[in-house]
Amino acid sequence: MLTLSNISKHYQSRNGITCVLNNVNLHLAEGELCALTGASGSGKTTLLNLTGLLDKPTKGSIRIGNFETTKLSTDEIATVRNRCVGFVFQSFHLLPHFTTMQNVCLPLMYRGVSLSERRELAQSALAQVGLGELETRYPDELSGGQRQRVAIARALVSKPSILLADEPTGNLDSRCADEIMSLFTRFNERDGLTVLMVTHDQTIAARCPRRIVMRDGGITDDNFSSPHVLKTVR
Amino acid sequence: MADSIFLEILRESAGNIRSMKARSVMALIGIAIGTAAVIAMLHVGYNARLTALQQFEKMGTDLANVLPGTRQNGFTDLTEARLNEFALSHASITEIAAAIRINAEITTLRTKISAVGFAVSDRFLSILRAHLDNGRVFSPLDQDAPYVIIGSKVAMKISAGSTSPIALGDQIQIGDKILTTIGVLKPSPANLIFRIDLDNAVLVPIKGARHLGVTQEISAILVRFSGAEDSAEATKLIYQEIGSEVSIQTAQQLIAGVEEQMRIYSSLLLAIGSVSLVVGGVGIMNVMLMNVVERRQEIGLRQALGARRKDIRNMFLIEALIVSGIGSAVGIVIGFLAAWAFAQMSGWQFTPSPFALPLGAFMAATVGLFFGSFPAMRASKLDPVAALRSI
Repeated sequence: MLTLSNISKHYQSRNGITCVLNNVNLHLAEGELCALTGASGSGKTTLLNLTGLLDKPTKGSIRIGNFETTKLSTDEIATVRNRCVGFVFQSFHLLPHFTTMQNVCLPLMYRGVSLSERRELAQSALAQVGLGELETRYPDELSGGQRQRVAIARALVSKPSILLADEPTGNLDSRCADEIMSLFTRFNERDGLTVLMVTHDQTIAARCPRRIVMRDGGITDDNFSSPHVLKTVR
Repeated sequence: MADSIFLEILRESAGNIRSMKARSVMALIGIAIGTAAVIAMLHVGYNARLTALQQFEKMGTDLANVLPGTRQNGFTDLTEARLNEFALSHASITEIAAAIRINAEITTLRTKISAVGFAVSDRFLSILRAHLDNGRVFSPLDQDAPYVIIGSKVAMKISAGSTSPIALGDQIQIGDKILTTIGVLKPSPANLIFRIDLDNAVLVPIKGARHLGVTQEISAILVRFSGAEDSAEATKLIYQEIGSEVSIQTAQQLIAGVEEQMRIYSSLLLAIGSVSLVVGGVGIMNVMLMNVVERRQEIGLRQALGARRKDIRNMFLIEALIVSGIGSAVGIVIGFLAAWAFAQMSGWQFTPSPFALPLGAFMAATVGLFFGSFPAMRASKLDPVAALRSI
């Protein structure tokens, strides 16, 4: 499903070159629910951005589904992102002047899906996150938990191969966080959705079968790096 | 698929117009004022040209005014008979008339009236297409009889200065001579080719010029060709007959002059239009650049959701085009109304210029595309990670 091979990411800064990721290897099989934890600055978000093809690695290759992304053009990468990756952000990133429905429709627009079909798919995605009734509301009329659910519906509406979540519960109270986490586990268990989630919250991480810990730009612990997974990588 | 995405972006951007910010409205007003200025001037210029050409059409475009120019001794050696003979022998010349210009001071009971006097040959009124309100024109039989035909305004002034309105057969005093009125002219527009204002003129037969105390020297020759297309041929004939030193002014030359003036006017219009375009365009660019900065997160999000660079670029370009399009549409309407009002005040018949709509659309497209391109390119090249991170 997802294979990162020998990924390094360096940034040019005023003090010279900063190495954020150093030779990271990671494989995620289809249907995995994986938490990515680690201290601030350990490289979690950079790894997530690279996985979501929002950024390019300085070195190494990324394979998502059947796409080897290293050699793709910017537009091709945008298309792969649109088809294979769903994003959920800590701060929701909903467009304030769009209704819930319009926000959820957005990824489908860039796929060229017709308006009527978009509405149908968005309605079904909103129903799945339990917001079927709120499709005409604007983001500022929703609670934090509801906004994040809209964001999840938006990420899932295009039926991605992998869902990437960057601290999805970071802005929510524990009850909402729990609800959001339940949604992730439900989609993972019921639909076999692959999820990679950056989180600081240990209770959230504990609910993921696989937990990866990062430190100083490398993976220091991975409870699933068992021989059978490594075999799949090869 | 690509087309359908473009259409979707177009639809989305059009829908966003309702949430247009005050600064976009200001940019829109800038474009509207610029376009209105250009469109108004375009209509006014077009109507000025039409009005001038209509005047020429009334007079006829087959006229020529022959003046002595640098000819030695002027037209002293020319006689009416010789000119008539010349016209008769050439098919390209239909009519010819000679005129001697004189100053005429008319004395009425109460006042003195200054008028322009002309001693003219028979065909003079026919060439000018002037019509009589009353009475008759000169005939060859009149010879040097002390007869006078008076212009409409002169008639009015004389009537105002006398006890009763002027009638045929009335005698009027011009200088120290007494002349008999045989005709009164209908009002007619000033003739631009011969520069004669018949309304303020008094006419006497050419042979009677001496009644007004002047020599017989012809000061101008009026010619009507058999058709506007014969003017070159006829001009050549006149040069041969009268001499190459004379100055010939044809209606077509004057029309060409008007056209040339309009061309200069159009260049001026283009220059003013360009300045307003640039000012309006910079306004749009400014607004769009601010939009790009303000909407960095949105751009990053759209990129994360699968928008390609060209999708982002198109989104901002379409928004710039919509702002400039609405601005231009408003400008076209304001420009039209301003020109219409100007035409009403000038007493012109208003005919909208056919170039206004295409020019307005062209201005909108140019401003939108040219000044929207830079912000749109900038937006499309944003780094998604940096854009998403920005607050």
